[in-house]
Formats: sequence, C-alpha cells, structure tokens
Amino acid sequence: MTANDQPHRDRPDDGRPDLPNGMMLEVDDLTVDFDTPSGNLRAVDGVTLRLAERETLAIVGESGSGKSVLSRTLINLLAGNGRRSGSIRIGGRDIDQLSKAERKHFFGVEVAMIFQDPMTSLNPVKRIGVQITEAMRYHLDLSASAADKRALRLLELVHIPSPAERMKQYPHELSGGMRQRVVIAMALACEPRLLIADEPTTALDVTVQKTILDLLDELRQERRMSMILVTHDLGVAEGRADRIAVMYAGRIREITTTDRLFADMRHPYTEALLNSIPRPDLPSHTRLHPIPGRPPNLLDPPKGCAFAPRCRYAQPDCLESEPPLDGPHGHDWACFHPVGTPEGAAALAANEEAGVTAAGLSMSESEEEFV
Amino acid sequence: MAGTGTAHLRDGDPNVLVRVEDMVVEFSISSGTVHAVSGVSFDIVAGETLGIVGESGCGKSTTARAVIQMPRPTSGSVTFNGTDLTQLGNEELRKVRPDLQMIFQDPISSLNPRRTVSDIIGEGLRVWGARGQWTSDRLDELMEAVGIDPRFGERKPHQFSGGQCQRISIARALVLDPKVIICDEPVSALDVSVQAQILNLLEDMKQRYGVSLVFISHDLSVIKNISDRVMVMYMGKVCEVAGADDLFARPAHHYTRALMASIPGSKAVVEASMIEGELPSAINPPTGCRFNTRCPAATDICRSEEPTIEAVGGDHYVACHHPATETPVTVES
Amino acid sequence: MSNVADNLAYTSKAGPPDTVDSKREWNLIFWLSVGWLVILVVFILLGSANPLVPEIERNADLINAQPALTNFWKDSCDPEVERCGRDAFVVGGLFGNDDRGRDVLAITVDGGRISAFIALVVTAIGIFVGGALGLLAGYLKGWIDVVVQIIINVTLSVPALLLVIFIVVVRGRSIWNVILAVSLLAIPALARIVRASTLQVADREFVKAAEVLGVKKGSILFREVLPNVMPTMISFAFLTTGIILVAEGGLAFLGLSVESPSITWGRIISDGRADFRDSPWVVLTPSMILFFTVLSLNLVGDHLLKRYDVRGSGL
Repeated sequence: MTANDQPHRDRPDDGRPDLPNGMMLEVDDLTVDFDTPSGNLRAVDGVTLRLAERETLAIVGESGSGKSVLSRTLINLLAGNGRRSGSIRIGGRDIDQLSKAERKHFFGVEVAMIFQDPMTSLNPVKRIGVQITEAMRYHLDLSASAADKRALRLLELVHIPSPAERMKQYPHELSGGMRQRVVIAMALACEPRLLIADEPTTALDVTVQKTILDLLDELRQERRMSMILVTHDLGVAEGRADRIAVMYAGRIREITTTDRLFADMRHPYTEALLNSIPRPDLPSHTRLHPIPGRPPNLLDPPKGCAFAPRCRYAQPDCLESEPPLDGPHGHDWACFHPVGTPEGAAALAANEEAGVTAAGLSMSESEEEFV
Repeated sequence: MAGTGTAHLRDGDPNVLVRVEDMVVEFSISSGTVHAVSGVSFDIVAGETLGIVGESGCGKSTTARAVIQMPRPTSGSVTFNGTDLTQLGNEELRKVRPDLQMIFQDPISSLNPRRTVSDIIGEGLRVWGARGQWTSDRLDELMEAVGIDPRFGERKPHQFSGGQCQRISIARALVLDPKVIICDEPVSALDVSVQAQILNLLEDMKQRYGVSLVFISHDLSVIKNISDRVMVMYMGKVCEVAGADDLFARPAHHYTRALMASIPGSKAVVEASMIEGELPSAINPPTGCRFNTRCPAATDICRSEEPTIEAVGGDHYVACHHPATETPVTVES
Repeated sequence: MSNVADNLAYTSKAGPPDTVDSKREWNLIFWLSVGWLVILVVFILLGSANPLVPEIERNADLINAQPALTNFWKDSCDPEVERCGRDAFVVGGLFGNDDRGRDVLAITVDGGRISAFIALVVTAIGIFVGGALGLLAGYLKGWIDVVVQIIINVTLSVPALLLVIFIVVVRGRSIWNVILAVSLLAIPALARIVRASTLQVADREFVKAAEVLGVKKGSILFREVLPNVMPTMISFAFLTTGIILVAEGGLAFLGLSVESPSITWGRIISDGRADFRDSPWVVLTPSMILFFTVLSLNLVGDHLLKRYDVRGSGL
C-alpha cells in the first residue's frame, strides 16, 4: 500500500486484486450453534449470502433473529462456546484457509466492524489519536508521524471539526455522535473492503443518526467499499441499503432489492413487521398491528416454518416442513403461501373463514390474549 | 424570563388537570450548574396524551419527572387539582402520589428481581389499601387487562420477556387508579413488534381508565402515533407545541423541521448547520434562542433576544423569531 | 428470553462464558469448601464430646499441672530437653502433641472454638452495625451519608494496629476486648461495601417506582433495597470471617490476643513457633486448618457473590 497519505482518494486502480466474480462476500450454508447450559442453541441456521463490491446489504430483524451473531461470525468474533459450520469467503479468500500470518492482518484490516455503542470500541483512558494510530502502526507498519498524518486525514474524512485538537482528547470529552465518528475513522484506518456496521446509529439521536448514515454512504461510494448494515429499523434499511435481508429465528426469510421489498414483499413476516411500526405519514392514533405471540425458543424450535405460530397465513404444510429460500429474479423468500400471490390470498381467505390459522392463532383483531 | 411564555396554556379549559408554569430544574455539578429545564410551561387536559419529544439532553425526561416532584423543580409551579405540588411537604406529597404514576424505560430494571409479580403489582394496594376502595380482585382484573395471565402472579420478573415486564409495569402504575401517568421512553428498549403491543395497550388503558399520559420519546413516529398534543423541546426550552397531526403537517420551528427531516426514510435534507453545529453545553447555554448555534435561519436577534411562545394559527404555538411558514417538510415512509 | 442468541454473541467481547463443564468444576470446589466448613463446625460444636480426642489428652498440661501423667508418655517425654509428647502421624494421636504434651488436634479444635467465636461475633457486629450504616448512607444519602463517610474514612485512616494495641492495652486482654478491637476495623470496611452496593440498588428504577407509589422510605429500604443488598452482605460476611480468623492470628503473634489459659489458633501457632524445628506439626497443623478454613470461606463467599449477583439475575 503506497497511498498511505491519501487514504480517501477514489482508487479505481488501487492495485488490489479484482474480486473473483465481483463478489466481496460469499457465505455458504453458514450455521452457528451455541453450547449453552440448557442445550444446543442454533442462532444462525443455514444462511447463504452474496454481497457485491460497493453494495450495501441491510440485515433486518428483531432481537434473537441471529443478525448480530451472523455479523460477528463474519468478522471472526464468535463467543467461545459457539461453533460455526459452512464457508465464508471474503474478497475471494476462504477465511478458514488463511495462514496464521495472514490472519493477523486480515480481521480489522480487510474487514472492519462498527458496534452500536461507541464506548465499547474506545478505550476510555487513551487519547483519540493514540487509539486511531495504534491499529495503523501495527497492521500497516507505519511510522509514528506517518500514522499521525493519516489519522488527521481520517478525522477530517469523517467530518470531525478541528481534528488536531480532537486527537489529544479522551473519548469522554466527545459527544456520542463524535465518538461514533471516531469509531468509524478507526474502522476505516486500514482501508477495509468490507465494513460491517452493527446497529451503528441505534444509540444516537435522530439528527446525528442521519448524518452518520450519510457519512457511511459517502465513504462507501468513495472507497469502493461493501457494507453490511445490521439494524432493527426498517426505515434505516430502506433509506440506505441496496438490498435487504429479513431474518427471523436464525434464517433469512426474504432477500431482495430494497425497492422490490417494499413494493412487492412476499414473506408474511416482512409484512407483519412493517405493519407493526408506527409511521410518521399516518395520522395520530392509527391502530398498530403487533405481531401476535412471541419469537420461538431457539433451544427448542418448532417443526416447520419458525414463523408459522405467529403467521396469519399459516396452513398445515407450514407446520410440517421448513420452506426453502428461493424465488425468481434475485427475489428469494422462504414461504409456501407468500403475500401477494394466489396461494397467499387463498391461505389468508381460508384462515379468515375458519377464524383461526392452522397453528391455532386467532384471526380476530382484538388480539389481547395472554402472551 | 423571555423565551418561554405561557401563550400555549389553556387556562380557559375547565378540564386542565396539571398546569406547569415557568418550571426550572438545575443541578449543581463540580464544573458548574446544569440548566436541565429552563422555564418550561405546559398543561395537561384530563384524558389527553401529551408527547414530549427531543434529543438526548434536551430535558424532556427531567421535565416530566419534575411534574411528579422527582426531582423537585428549582423554581416554578406545578398545579395539580388546585394544589401547587412544589409547595407540599414530603408527607403531603406522598399522599398525592397515587394520582401521579410513572412507567420507566428499562422494563427489567424497573421491577424488583426478588419479588413476585403479584407482589410488585399489589404494592400500591398494600400501601394504600386502607383507603378501602380496592379489593384483591383488582389485581386479577389489572393483570388480565394488561395481558398477563393472573396464574403467573407468583413468578419472578426474570421469567418474563421484556415486553411482558413492561406490561407488569403498566399494571403497577394503574393499580391505584391514577389521574396522570408519566411514560418515560417506555418502548425504547423493546423490539418493534413488541413496541406496537405496548403502544396499543397504552391507548387501550387510557380509554378504559380515563388516565392522562405524559409520553416521552426521542422517536417522532412513536410520538405522533400516541400523542394528542406534542411539545418539542431543545436544551431545556419549549420550541413548539401543537396537536400531533398539525405539528407533523406544518412544523414551524426550524428544530422541529430538522428532527422530521432526520426520520429514517425521509427524503428531506437536513440543513448543514444541524450537522456541523455541536450541541452546546447545558452548563453554559447560548444566549438568545438556544437553538441559534445550529439554526439555518438564525439572525442577530436570535443571538441576543430569546423568542417568546406565540400562536401561529389555531392550537399551534412556536417559540421562534423566524418561524418557518413556507413549504412543509414532506414526511414519507 | 428471546434475545438469548444475541446475548451470547455479546459475550464474545467479555471472554468466553462459563460452559457446562467449568460450571460443574466450580460447583465441586464449592461443595468441597462447604463440606470442610461443615466438618469444622461439627468438631467445634462437639467440643469436649469429640470422640476422636480422649478427654485426658485435651486437658493434659503434662509438665505444669499434672506431672504424674508424664510417665504415661514415657516413650517420647524427655524432661531433659524440656519437650514432651508424641511425634505426629503415629497411632493414637494423628497430629502429635505440643511441648506441654497436649494433643495438637485437641487444642486445635479447642482453639478453633474461640477463634470461630471471635470471628463470628465480629462478623455479626460488622454486618449489623456496618450494614445498617451502609444501607442508611447509601439509600438516604444527604447528611447521613456525609456523616457515615466521615466515620468510615476516619476509622480506616487510623493505623489499625495502633488502635488495637491501644484498646487491648487499656482495657486488658480478654475475648471481648479483642472482639471490640477487631469490630472497630470490620465495621467501617463492611459499611463501605454495603454502601456501595446500596447506592447501586437504590439507583435502579424499581426503587424509584416504589417512591412513585408513595411507599414510605423505611418500607422501601426493607422491602426493595435490603433484599437486593442481602446477597452481597452474606457473601462478604463469609469473606470477613476468613479475614478475622487471620487477623486474630496476627494479634496473637503480637501477644495481644486472649490470655492464657484460653487458646486460639493464633496462640497455638504463636506459642508453637519456638519449637518449630523439633515439632513443626504444632505450628503446621493449626496453620493448615486455618488455611483451608479461610480458603473455604473465601470460595463460598465468592461463589455466593457470583450466584446471587443482581446484575447476573437480569435477563
């Protein structure tokens, strides 16, 4: 890497090898199990993903959906009692095939991660400047002065005012938004080609959230970077992602381009999630439609589709077997009776007729049953 | 003090339940005095939900908590049922407590892990049971009302999910038949599908028990959904007060507009001044309008003189020298 | 508990969580410690009725009090070298005799009674007085907190040894004066720990919620705060007991512990060190027992602290 002094130039000819078939990330049949005192817990269940260069993929789901475990697994941050199977290729390299020496400069360099709470990534007793330059000096073998110079540029890049002064400050002297910018600068320090952002703005105020997401967008364009944006907020995903993967109980339930997902969603969970969110364009006191029931217990998952017990479309076949994730034109869904199809309409009509779904869920809207 | 004003108070309305005037809350810390709430006035009409929205540090939570005297305001008055709560002694205040309840943000931390659920919900009855108007059926009735199976009354909080814990909190707040419930970010810690359940439940409880809510949130969509009237706060000051739909259709304060433009999914542009300007220190707030350091429309008068709250049509009030009246921000989702 | 999976992921930052195996291992150590303490308590309670130690040996002060008995042990009693008794690990007296012919096991058990009495009484005083001060200071805050903090800081900054020497010298060497002296050290230490724990609990929203309901302060303290501080208090009681056992030993070395003929573990060790070369078991036996006891107390206290930690009991 010779462009040390110009970390944020657009680099069509940065000397990096072209990606095989243009894919930044290839995940095949990834499964993550945790050994817990109460038994085996499958947090991620057969996830297959492709992410192209410069693409942003949002992974949307609620707590327990496995989205955080998935993102941490990608950057090799699996907890000690976790077991992974399936392959992960980043930039065409299988992460299991890396030699020990390569590994040292792979995670944090080729792939970097931003966490929800900036304070977990920052050391409270070290100056900002030291924290940013540390990684660069270790991974890129820069001299102190070169690293300092580069850190300054990085802070400028993430729009931190008077960066030279900030370098001398401690994390607690900065606001939450500024800290998250520092964390982003640190993540970018070694020019990653893949950035994983796990709820990067959830802890921040809305105005700050917007500016941080704008910043990530801008950086991704400028630096030919791919991004995985993990979020619980469909609104955040809608505004920022090229494609969206909706996760539920460890599996991807629907994945397609953002526009198509909102215009033409297929999975009942996607629909239910969208209907449960208060929207600023609807009048005050609009009745929300919560998803009935609770997420499944992953220690003892139900047979068939994991969403079936809460699904208004559920039919007997949903309780028997797990629908495969498949579909035409890059729009995959895992459902036997998808929304917006004759099968889905028939399933819904049949359930409404019976007043109850095949899983025993009441179809009446006065849902206030015990949960 | 300028900048606050009381134009938006509905003194003619006989149903006003709580009237807060010129409330100031200050904390002393080692580096000076934090001006958390600086002369805020508002009122709550019986059966109404007042939403208070703003970013962290704007004083929304302190404002709402100071209504129930936790903490007690530094100055100003809080009139409830004709009594100024700020003038009451501790024991007199304790006697008013049953009418003023609260629901907290963290559903887990707000329940004592070592007590059973019926103990937690019934605590109010234990303390005030002497009044004689409640029976033990009240417990079962409430648990059913909030969607917790009364058979689970002997369980401890850790055996319930976050959403269920929040239902238990709601039941505890309702058990004494209060007039006002302060809801301090009650859905912020919950998943979206659970959030919808709790918001619906709060609406139902409000109808069923005729209680007024003060609902605090940083989430504009949530605020719009639950509130009848919304108050926007910035750095301990009121920016704008209006009916929920009205406020979202015609935001007049530049800060309100910036907030709305920041809603995820909104295509509106946030002015650069919002992005560049850091939130000023609450120890040493800016003179004039406190928003002037980040406001795109700020002029000299904004830096020297604090605006007073004035009507901008109907039940819509704004504290701004240059209220935005032109094209509204398009809010889409 | 829908977010189990996500929580598991977060543990990657805090190091690997306890797996099933390490938990089991930990439990084994815990139960061993409990077992040791139970055995100890049984021995101490049995006292003179202890079938393992014949009555005649436990009271034998072979040289001074009952010289006639010396012949009974003629195989090893040699007045010329002024040492009487059996060596350790021979049949009849597993841990041997001391220089006055007393069975070491017997005097260790006897000494344990007084050591344990001192430790338990001091711990009880520390928990009640220190705990009450800590609870009041941590929950009520305000001037009470200021006063308690001043008391804590002043007592903790007076050199402990001087304080103890002063009390024992002025008031004399009796069990109760030793208890008084050590209590004065235990109270502020426990008050500080309980205060910190109370501050943490009092900050939690369920305490606020009780205030909002109009529950009286005293009731909140006992019904909401205390039950959550209790586990910390109990586990620190175990740790304190261990520390006091050791502290008593220290006092004995300085000649400040109880007076003869009362014996404590500290006194046995202190008295026996003169003959350490010839009869090391006189020192080693009570030392080892003291070591295992303090270790067990620490392990049990630690385990309870982890097991009932309020933060750990959340979702």
